[in-house]
Formats: sequence, C-alpha cells, structure tokens
Amino acid sequence: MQNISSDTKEADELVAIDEVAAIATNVVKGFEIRKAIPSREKDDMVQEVIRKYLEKKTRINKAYKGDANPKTYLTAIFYRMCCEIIRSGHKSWDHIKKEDPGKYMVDLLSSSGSDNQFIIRNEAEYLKKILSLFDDEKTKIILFLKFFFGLEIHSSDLKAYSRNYKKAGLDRLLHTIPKTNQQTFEILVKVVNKHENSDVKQDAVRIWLYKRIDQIIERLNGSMNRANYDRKTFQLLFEYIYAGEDG
Amino acid sequence: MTDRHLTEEEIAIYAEAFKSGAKKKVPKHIRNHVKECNRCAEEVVAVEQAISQLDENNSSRSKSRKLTAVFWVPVAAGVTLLIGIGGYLLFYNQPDTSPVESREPVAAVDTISSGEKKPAADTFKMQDQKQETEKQEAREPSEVSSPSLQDKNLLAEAYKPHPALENLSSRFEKGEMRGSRFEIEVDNLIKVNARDTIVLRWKNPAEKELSLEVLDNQGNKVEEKTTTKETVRLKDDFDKGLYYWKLVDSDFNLLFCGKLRVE
Ligand SMILES: [Zn+2]
Repeated sequence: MQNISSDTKEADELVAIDEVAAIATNVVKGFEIRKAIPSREKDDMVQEVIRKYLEKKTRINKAYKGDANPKTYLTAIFYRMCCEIIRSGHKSWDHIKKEDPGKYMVDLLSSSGSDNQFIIRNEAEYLKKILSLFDDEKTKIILFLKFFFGLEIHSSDLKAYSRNYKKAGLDRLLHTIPKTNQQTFEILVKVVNKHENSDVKQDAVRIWLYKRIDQIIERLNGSMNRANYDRKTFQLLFEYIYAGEDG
Repeated sequence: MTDRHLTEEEIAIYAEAFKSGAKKKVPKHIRNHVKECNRCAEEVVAVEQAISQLDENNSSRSKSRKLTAVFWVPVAAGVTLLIGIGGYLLFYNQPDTSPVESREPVAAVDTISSGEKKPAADTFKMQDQKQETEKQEAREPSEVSSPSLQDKNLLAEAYKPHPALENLSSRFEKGEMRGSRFEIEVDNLIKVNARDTIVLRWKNPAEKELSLEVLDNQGNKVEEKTTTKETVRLKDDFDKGLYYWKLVDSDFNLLFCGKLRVE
C-alpha cells in the first residue's frame, strides 16, 4: 500500500497496519461485488478508506471498548466509511440500468433454469439471514407468512411458535382456509391472543405483519440497489423456500 | 428501538455472534434494535459476510499461494454470471461463492453454492478444468481419450472428491468440528448401492428445525429437506457417484457434513 511507512503494530494500534489494509481491501471488495462501486474505483476507495482511518485513528481507537474482535470492529468502521464515501456525492456512479425489474424478478423466480436456480438459492440464503435477524419473532413471522400466503403449515412451524399449540387450538385455527384477507387476519388475531394471552385488535396484527413484510423487502433490496423486490416477488421467494418443506 | 443507531462495535458484536451461531449472547437491546432498524440489519449481514470472507482469505493464504490466487475467481465469475442472465439482481453472498474448508465449527454456514462449480460461466470452466487437469496429470498420467476410456472417465468424474466439501467432511471425521457435539448416528462415509434406500440418522431430542442438504461432487444441491425429526429418508434415484450431505440448524450453524458413495 502506498503512503504507509510501517507495517508493524505500534503500542496504540488495534490492528497492525498491513492488516488494516487487508481489512479495507476486503470491505471494498464486498461493495465491488454488490456493484455498489465500479471495479475501476476499487483501489482508490481502499486508499480513501485507509486515509480516513489514519486521520481518525485516535478517535477510532478510543471508542473501542474491547467487546468485539478488533478486526471485526475495523470491518464495521470501514463498512460505514465506504457507505459515507459512496453517498457523499462525489462518487455517484450509475448503477446498472434495469429495463423492467418487476418482470425480470417474476421471470427469474418462476423459472426452473439452472442458472436462475443458482441465483434463487443465493437469494433464499440471504432471505433466511434476514429472517434470522428478527430474532425471537422469526418463527412467528415465518408461521404467519405461511398462513398469509396460503402455504401448508407443519407441526414443526406450530411447535416453533408455541409449545402448547395443540392445547391452545392453534393447529385447528391455522389449518382453516380463509376465504378473504379479512378472515386471514381474524384467524391470526385469535392465534396471537390465545398464544400471548392478550387482547390485541385485528388491525394491530395486520399492521405488524405488513410492517415486517415491508421491512423484509427493504432489507432484501438493500440500501444500494442490491435487488428490486416487491410484495409479489418477495412472496415468490418465500414460497420457494417454505412451500416445498415436508417437515 | 433505541433512537440512535448501533455503534460500529455493537454491529461487530452482532456480526461475530451471527457468524458463530451464538446470537443469543448478543445483548437484548442490540438485538431489538436490529429487529427494527433496516440500516443496522444490513450492516450486520454485510460485516458478517466480510469477516467470513476475511477468514477465508487468511486461511487460504496460509495454506498456499495458489489457493489464494484462485479465490476471487469464482466470486468474480458468479457476478459475471448474474449480469449475463439479466444484469439486475445483484446480491452479495460471499459465503455461497467461496470455498468452505476454513469454516469455523459453528460458523454461519449457508449452503455450499451450487453455482460454485456451475459451468455456465467460462471462468468457472477454466478454473475447474485447470484443477481437474492438474489432478488428472497427477493420478492418471498415461490415460488418453478413447471411447471406452471416456466412459470410465465419466464414472471416475462422478466419484472425484469436491476439494472444499472433502476437506469439510474430513474435519468432522477427525472431530475437529464437533464443537456443537451434535450426535450423528451414521458413518462419516456411507456406501450404498444405487437402488438402496438411504436413511440418515442423528439425535435431535429438542426437535430443532434442521435443514438437510445433499450435494453432488460438483457442489450442486441435489436434495434439500427441512425436518425436526431424527431421521430423513433420501430420494431413491441417486445416480452413481460421490455425494456430500450437510445438516444445518435454523441459525445457519453447520452441524455435520458427511459423505455418501452411491455405487
Ligand atoms: Zn440502526
């Protein structure tokens, strides 16, 4: 790397400078892969990140409490620096133009071609990670989405949501086939109230589920044009993962 | 949700825990924030992917220069492939496109990319051919192509070990990756005839949701199931060849990777 005079770890350094460069390169590589930056800008971006790091090093080191691995900490710092650089305006690159992203998504997710299957499997893994980050709500979201999208619900889904699902009659409720959206939420609100021993209103469940759906879609799409899902294509991806389960 | 975004260190803490499958150790306020905040969630996934990648890089570098040199090729090829078929869906899922051999015992293992060895992109082909040629030269220096030998070669191809999966399964065999102490009740290498019924067994008293994946020796997924049970019966129509099977829990922890030889 240019402009770097030493490759040894000084007393106040979190990470040796050669490792700093490797971490910066790795983070920038991630942005390049996601096409958030063009390849030709990669080296400049690495230099810019290292320059910013050297400039703010004292503050960065001071803010570090020692709860995370220093390399992971720097990775998180550099990730934000890259976002800042990209959003700062002087680096505004054209993203790949999409002719009809909605149609492309539908075609992609409906197709069985092996190339497309490769992409879909990767997307499926990404969606699973996103769902995981909903933490203790993950099983509820999956169960409710399965019901909402009319997918078959297995006992494993019910058990993951509620140990006492049989006693509470949740299996009977969730094996009912609703005829309208209204009925869907009438059933879901009963499930919530039985399981959580609460008295929430139907609207609250609807608002909660729609909010989570929108969040998932936003996370799938990412802040830098990662993809372009809408409710329909998200449903297709969700079904790809959860419709074929045989528990 | 707290009204401030997470600090970089909090993102790092979550990303590390996510990678190692120990999400529960992350302080509740951090987990709650990520549940609600799209920006921080995106950062956690991105940092988790980046540190997994860094581990791969370091591990590859320490093994050999050659491996390091080939590392980014599949990734770049993966992107080429995407652009080629539509040029629009751009995802960042490095663990899927990278070798698996350096995964930690409870790493956030995704599926092995079936596209990793997909011959759709020329770069893949070139890479695979290069590796294959090298191995062929080492093992079968005198073989030249003739019709009968071609048939034999085809069959030999089906039993050729997948380097990364081979490495991964051998680490389980040696007990290097039994950190989670997951109990498997079949051998690391299962040999069956093509018409046999294959049943895989393990201990799962807590009835956790598990994903089973069977991959061929090219890393392509040939069967996938989700179960909370302790056995899974595989489909009956496996072609002759070498396969690998992986068991992953709902937090993406890799619990086991074994081999299946269909003869
Ligand atoms: Zn936030």
